[in-house]
Amino acid sequence: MKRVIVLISTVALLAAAFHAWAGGTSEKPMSSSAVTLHCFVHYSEDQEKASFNYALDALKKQYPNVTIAIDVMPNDNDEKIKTLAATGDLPDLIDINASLVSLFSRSHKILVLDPYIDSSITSAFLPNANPMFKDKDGHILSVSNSVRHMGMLYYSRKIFADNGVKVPTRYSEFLDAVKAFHANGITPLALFAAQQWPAFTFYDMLVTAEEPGGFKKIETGTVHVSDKAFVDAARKFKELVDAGLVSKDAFTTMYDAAIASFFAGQAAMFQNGTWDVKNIGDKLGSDAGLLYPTVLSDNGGGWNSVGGGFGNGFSASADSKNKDIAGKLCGFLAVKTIEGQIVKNANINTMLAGTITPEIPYNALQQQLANDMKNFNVGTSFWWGLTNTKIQTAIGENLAKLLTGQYAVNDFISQTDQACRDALSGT
Amino acid sequence: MTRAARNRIAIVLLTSPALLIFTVVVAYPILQTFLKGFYRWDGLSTPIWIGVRNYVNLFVHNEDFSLAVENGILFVLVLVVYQIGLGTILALTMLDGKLKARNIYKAAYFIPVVLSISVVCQLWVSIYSYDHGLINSALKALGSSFRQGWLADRNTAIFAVAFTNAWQYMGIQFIFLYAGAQAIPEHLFEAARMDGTPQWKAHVLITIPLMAETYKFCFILAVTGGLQAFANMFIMTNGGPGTYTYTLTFVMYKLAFFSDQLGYASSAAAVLIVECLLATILLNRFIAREQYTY
Repeated sequence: MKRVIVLISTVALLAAAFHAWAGGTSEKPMSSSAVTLHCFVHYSEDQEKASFNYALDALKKQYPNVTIAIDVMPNDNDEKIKTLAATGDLPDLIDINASLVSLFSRSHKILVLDPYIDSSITSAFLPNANPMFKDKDGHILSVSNSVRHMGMLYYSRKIFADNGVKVPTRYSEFLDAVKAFHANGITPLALFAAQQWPAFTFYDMLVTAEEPGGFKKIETGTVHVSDKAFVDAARKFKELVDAGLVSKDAFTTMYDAAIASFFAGQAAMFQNGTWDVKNIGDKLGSDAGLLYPTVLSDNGGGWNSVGGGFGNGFSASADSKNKDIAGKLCGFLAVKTIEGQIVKNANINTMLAGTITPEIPYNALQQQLANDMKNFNVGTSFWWGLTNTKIQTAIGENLAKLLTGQYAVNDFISQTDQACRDALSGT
Repeated sequence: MTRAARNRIAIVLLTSPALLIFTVVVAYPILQTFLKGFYRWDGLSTPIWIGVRNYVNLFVHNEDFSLAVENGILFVLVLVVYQIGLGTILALTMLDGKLKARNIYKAAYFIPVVLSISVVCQLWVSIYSYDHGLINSALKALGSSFRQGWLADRNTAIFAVAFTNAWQYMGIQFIFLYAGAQAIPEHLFEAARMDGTPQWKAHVLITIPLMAETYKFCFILAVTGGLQAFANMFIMTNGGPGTYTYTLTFVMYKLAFFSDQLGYASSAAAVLIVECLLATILLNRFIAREQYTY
């Protein structure tokens, strides 16, 4: 008798356990029991936390049963996320850049988001915002989670005035300003060239003076590094560096040291993206000015600029146990993160439809940029917006060789052109 | 079962855990590295066999390869001269019984070893700074107009980076050399003293030859460490100026994590493994060939 009871209870327990296990592997709809998704996201700087926390608050209101566990993205050239992808441990939601989207889609690591992006998401964006990263067949792989930024040259009116240097409006005047500052012991441009993207952005500013598509257009194969715009840009960049554009320490200088030297009056200009306009405007007040990239063109004027494009966005892991929820949240979190950037960080709205009021009013520098933003023609991308990593690496390394004298202009053009052609042909 | 058989079983049982760990953590990854060098692979997709194309590209088409190998050798030279050369002088000086406060000196030589490499690199980046660095400021204070971009100049960058590593880890070589010198029996030095041999000559004829095994170990550390150098150039120069502080490890890192060319990176890693192995074999072959017993 005892044996029978033990047998029955064992079977009953096993059946219950099996039922629980089977029940646990099926996806839970958003409206049922609680579910936690892991999200690999930029969450180190105060601004990053503020905007993403805004999105999480919105998530709590809209989907109270969904919780996001944050996996903080380190600043490690994507090593961690690539390792997680290789071991099959990608988080449910990933904040990734264009080159990673391309890599992960080739190896089927991320979901195609077409079924999850409906009109509630697309209508949230401005018609010309172009927030979706699509593969060559037009399938959505990622939704942009950032306002569109541009590369920008900031300058100190005081340093220009104290040194009697005219604020340039075209390339020749810019070169004269560089020479004048260098002669006076002032670093003309504080460039944190320890990272490769600032030098790339400056070079792209020179390119867009003649070719609005900038270096991004190289990836389409319709323009080449051997074309006039790129050759002229390389020549000008070398000319400026030889005239003393940057400090000899530029290649070991990180962002903090570069901006500190700008604020301390040791550098006349500073290059970064428009995400820094609030910080610089707050710090320097009426002293701060903006030099639009068209200052590097021969004739000045126009509105070609650099940056824009798809920078970072939310994608969903193809191995997520909650694919439907993750897919749906890509669009929702992307919209709300951008909204958070506008509301909390006073970033200028270049993406979302409707009027969104920042909590902190614009400073004078932000207002100037906001007034002019609609005029800019931004057809390129930042460094992290390039999808072909071989092109990205080639231009980064070869630019460094050009700027340090390892390459002459002709070497830079021929080597980079060949590397880009090889990368596009798959060799 | 015989005693010999029982011993063999015991040996196998006792050594197999360590062998298993070694196989899984060291031998298998090295084998995979060599094999993956024959594939085009981005780390995630299915690898595609391309034969020796990666190796051909590395040796023939990669213009940074020869520079990287050259930088590895220069790095080794700096380490050997500073760490082992200076380490020997300091170790032999410490042997002098009349020297006071030896413990303070020993601690001072070892302090940089325990510092974080990031801290040391940032410290030396500041010292080397063209605009505000200690070296250029000292030269200016001495009335010299000479200023050098130590990390910006292609001729000095690799030496500046290598010196940072040499400075930080000299303490380790010093400890090994000092311990090796102390292990030599005192009666040999007494005999030399009784013969009227000057101390420096005693060190040249007795101490250094009898430390051959220690030197072999120190050279292997310095040579393989120099060939594999990465952290210092990553933190201080990111391989720059241009690619003038690239080493083979840096080439491998760039190919793997920037260009997503893990197959190509594996070929660079395979070459590095062979380099280090060759260096170790040569050092074992030509240093401390004779065994001394006291």
